[in-house]
Amino acid sequence: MRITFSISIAGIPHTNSLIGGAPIKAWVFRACVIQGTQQLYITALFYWGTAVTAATATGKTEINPLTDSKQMAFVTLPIAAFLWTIGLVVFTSLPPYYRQSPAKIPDFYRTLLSRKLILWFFVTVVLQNYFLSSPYGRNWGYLWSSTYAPHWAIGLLVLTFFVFIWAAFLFLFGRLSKKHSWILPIFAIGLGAPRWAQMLWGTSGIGLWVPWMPGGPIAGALAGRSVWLWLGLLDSVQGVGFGMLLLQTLTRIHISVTLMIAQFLGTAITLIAKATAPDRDGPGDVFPDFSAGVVQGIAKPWFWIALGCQLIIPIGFFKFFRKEQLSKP
Amino acid sequence: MLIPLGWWYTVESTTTKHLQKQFKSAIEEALASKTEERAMMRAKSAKQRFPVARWVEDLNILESTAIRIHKEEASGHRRFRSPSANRVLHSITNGLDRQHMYGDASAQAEAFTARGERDTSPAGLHRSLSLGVRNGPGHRARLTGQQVGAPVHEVDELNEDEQSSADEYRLTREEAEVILRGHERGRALHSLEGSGTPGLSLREPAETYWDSRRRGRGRSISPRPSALRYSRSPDDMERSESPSSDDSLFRRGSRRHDRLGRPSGSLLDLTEIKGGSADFSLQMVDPTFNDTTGEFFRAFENMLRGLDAKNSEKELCIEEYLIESEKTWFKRFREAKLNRSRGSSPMGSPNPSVSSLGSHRRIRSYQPSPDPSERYSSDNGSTTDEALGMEDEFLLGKNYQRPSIFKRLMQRRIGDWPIYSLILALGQILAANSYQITLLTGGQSQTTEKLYIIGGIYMAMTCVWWAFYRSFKSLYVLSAPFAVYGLAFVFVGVAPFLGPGSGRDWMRNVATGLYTAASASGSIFFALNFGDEGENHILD
Repeated sequence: MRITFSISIAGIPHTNSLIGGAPIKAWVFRACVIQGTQQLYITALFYWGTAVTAATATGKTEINPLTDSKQMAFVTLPIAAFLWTIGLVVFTSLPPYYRQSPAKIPDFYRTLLSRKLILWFFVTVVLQNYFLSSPYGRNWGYLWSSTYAPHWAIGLLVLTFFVFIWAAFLFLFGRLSKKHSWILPIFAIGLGAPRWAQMLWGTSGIGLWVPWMPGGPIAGALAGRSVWLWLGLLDSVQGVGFGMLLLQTLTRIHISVTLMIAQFLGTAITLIAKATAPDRDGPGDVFPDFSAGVVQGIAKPWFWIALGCQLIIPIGFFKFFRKEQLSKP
Repeated sequence: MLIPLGWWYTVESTTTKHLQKQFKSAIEEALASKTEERAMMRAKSAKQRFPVARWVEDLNILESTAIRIHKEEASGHRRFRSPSANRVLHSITNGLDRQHMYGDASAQAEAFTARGERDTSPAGLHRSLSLGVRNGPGHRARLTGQQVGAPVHEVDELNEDEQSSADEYRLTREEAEVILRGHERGRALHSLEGSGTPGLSLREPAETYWDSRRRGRGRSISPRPSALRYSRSPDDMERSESPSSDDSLFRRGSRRHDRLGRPSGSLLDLTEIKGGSADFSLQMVDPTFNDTTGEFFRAFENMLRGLDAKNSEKELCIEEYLIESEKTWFKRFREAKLNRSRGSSPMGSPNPSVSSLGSHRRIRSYQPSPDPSERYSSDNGSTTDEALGMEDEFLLGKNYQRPSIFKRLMQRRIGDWPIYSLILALGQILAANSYQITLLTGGQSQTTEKLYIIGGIYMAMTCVWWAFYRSFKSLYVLSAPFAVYGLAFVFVGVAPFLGPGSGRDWMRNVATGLYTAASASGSIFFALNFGDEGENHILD
């Protein structure tokens, strides 16, 4: 289960055409920054997890250094106190906007069903989670699992991609969106299925050995991780683009209900996938091992089924976005 | 449908920059065209004009047909005839929208007067333009005791007697011509006098005309012929309310024009409803940026003195100016809200911020506008007056309490971000999915049972947080997860103190479960962030 849609942008229906451009741009930028930061957090988490496992395998440290040493309490208890303080501050001091009672919207849930974009979003969640949730951990394990490239080098790569190149993307799209506010959604649609590609690279074994890179195995490992990070970046951009799609067609409360339902649905599908999907115990046929030859790999039907499912997602968005766009020229 | 000749450009997006660019390219194309081409176009256009009058007439027909069909459908249980007044009025109101007060009003009157020959509309052979009934549209029958069973058809409308009832405002062709002439006179006067008092000269012919038609209605204020202004408020009230239109440049000149008739005859007025008191809670909304003091308007006027071809696209582009002004104004608004007792020092005088806007433009001929004398007196002896003036501008009211220190802290900004939104962003970042959580508490692989349990908790808590969100104030759903996160960390920290074994494992599992439960609220943090941004409060 994952928060499949980790970008959401506080939305306000922009019927005000005169200054409609500025607010959207500001929020997109901020939402992107938040998303970028979360990527870093996740990366760090996975690093921690990999380090723990590796350490266990070589017998260096105890099994769970985090929870098994008493010194950890000195770290986690202050964190807990900090979080409680924040909770208290939030409770007492949020601006008055947040003290409104929620509005009653008649027939709210039924109107959701009539918005094709929302329905397609749910379809996206289903398709993506079904095929791409089980190998999730293994996919991320690929990043840190190299035996050749040192961890600090990979850390640098992560910084380069998730901070610098990400900022460059933000800058570029910020400039472009001033003139053409549709460009980020359309770019996202044009990206296709980067998450699928990333998983293919990471879990099917293609990315494990890149012999054609000059510089030996270290360079090969770094090149492989770079490709992986690049695809991850494109996946984030696509997430932002789809978020803008929703923003340009929905209000704040619609967005929140969409995301919550998507969460619920995504989790349910993940559980189902864990029980029934073809890649539940490993990449399986969905991300086949190409070491026996390319044709052997491509011949598996699940490969194509999964790929097809991922590719119809942007096509559907394209179709419904155009119809439901609020501020059409 | 005739497509007019000319140079067209496509519109691919609604942003100003794009439209400017497209328009410019169309202009360049037109300027670069050959003489023969233009001669050909001129020749063609002699034969082919854009048929304005016919277009208006067609629209009229369309609308009246639609309304007639609607009424026929609805005539099963209610059968009083509809005044055709509605339709004609509707077309007038459409044409006379606020942004085009000057031109289209006379155009409409022209179209109406010129339409003598084309009386093929189903509205029948009207010789007068109805401007509405005192009792409101559709209620004429009740008042004058008309037959309720009359068919809903235009035949009745040809009955002149019924139409000239005392409570309807009518505008015969002659009267329309009078108004038209009045407009033209006004326009001529306006161009001669500059921005003198065009309103007065325009009002006079119209007013005398209306005075003569009053028929003893017993009203103290003569009904100004206005198809637009629905409230009969006196002038000073209008002055403070008028900026809700977005044509602030037209505001001065045309505020008093174009009152052609009261459409609905309603006697209701905002002052009557309010009854003099000013503290209904519906009125306690945050003000939108209306430039009620005219300060930004004046500053822009000054900047426009330096207008030339180069800077009309970028620096003096009004959209950008408006955006910047709005930001400045909201900054001041926030300062006013948070710093009331500190008097005038943080607010400063409005001129520095406004002139800083001007200096961005690097217009050489820009001079800072003279201090607006009424409110912002530069002597510091009148700080309280100034403070009150600022508050009135921001509609803070007399009973405004400064928020507590924490609340003020939350609304402070770092860069462009308010602090509370950083905290909400933290809440959103912390929300991870389940796989990431097990990493935190140990063990990279997840057993299937664990996955199912965590998934179940996640799904259940999603529903719980959603119910919270929809039933209580947003405050609760944004602060409770932090408490749960904290609890999770407590468990993680306490776990090593238990002996190794199942106790410890269970602590870890509980911690994971708590973290998952709190993470389910992540989307709500996102959706609710930046809520106090200052625009469109009421919409949410």
